[in-house]
Amino acid sequence: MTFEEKKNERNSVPRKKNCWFCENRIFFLDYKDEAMLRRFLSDRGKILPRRLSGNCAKHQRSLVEAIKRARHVALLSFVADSLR
Amino acid sequence: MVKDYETMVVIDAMISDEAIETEIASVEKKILTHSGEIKRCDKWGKRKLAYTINKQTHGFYVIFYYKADKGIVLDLERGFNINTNILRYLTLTDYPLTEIIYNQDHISSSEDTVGFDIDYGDAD
Repeated sequence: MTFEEKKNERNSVPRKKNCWFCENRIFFLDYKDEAMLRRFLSDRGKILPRRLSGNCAKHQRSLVEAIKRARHVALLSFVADSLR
Repeated sequence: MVKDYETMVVIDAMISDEAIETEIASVEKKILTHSGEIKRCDKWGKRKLAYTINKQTHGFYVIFYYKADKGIVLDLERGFNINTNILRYLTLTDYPLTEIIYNQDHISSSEDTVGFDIDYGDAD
């Protein structure tokens, strides 16, 4: 790999993901909607960071709050070692 | 000052059905005594918990949507703390009442996951 290719590869801007909630016009995130919340958890049950999920800040904050509420009421697990 | 409340209660599923019904009835009675008015009561029934609570693996989920004055929350939660049958409770205020009733069959139906092209490898 020549130096130019390596240089371009390093600062190649990743594809801009747009916010899934803004696209689908969802503005109320319910902690009971387990299927939708599970989509933003990693396979280990951890919350996906914004740079990976592509959410905007407003939705990411309400998403995190909903996930933590769901975890409190045992709808989602804290550590998904045995994925349900 | 009357406010909208939503209380989710996880009742221990190992106890008998009559005991679960009495738990639910006692909560409803407590709400009515506080000049409250129950808008809706969703019973999700017995569900597997995501993790074990007090060595229980299944819980009976009940959600109350009601309108009451503010003394209700303290009274309810004091009762929940004493009661060993209640595993978890979560009270929210000014939380919109969703038309969709989420329960077991709803979850399996909406499994259209968004294709994430990320392989979020966990280092740890």
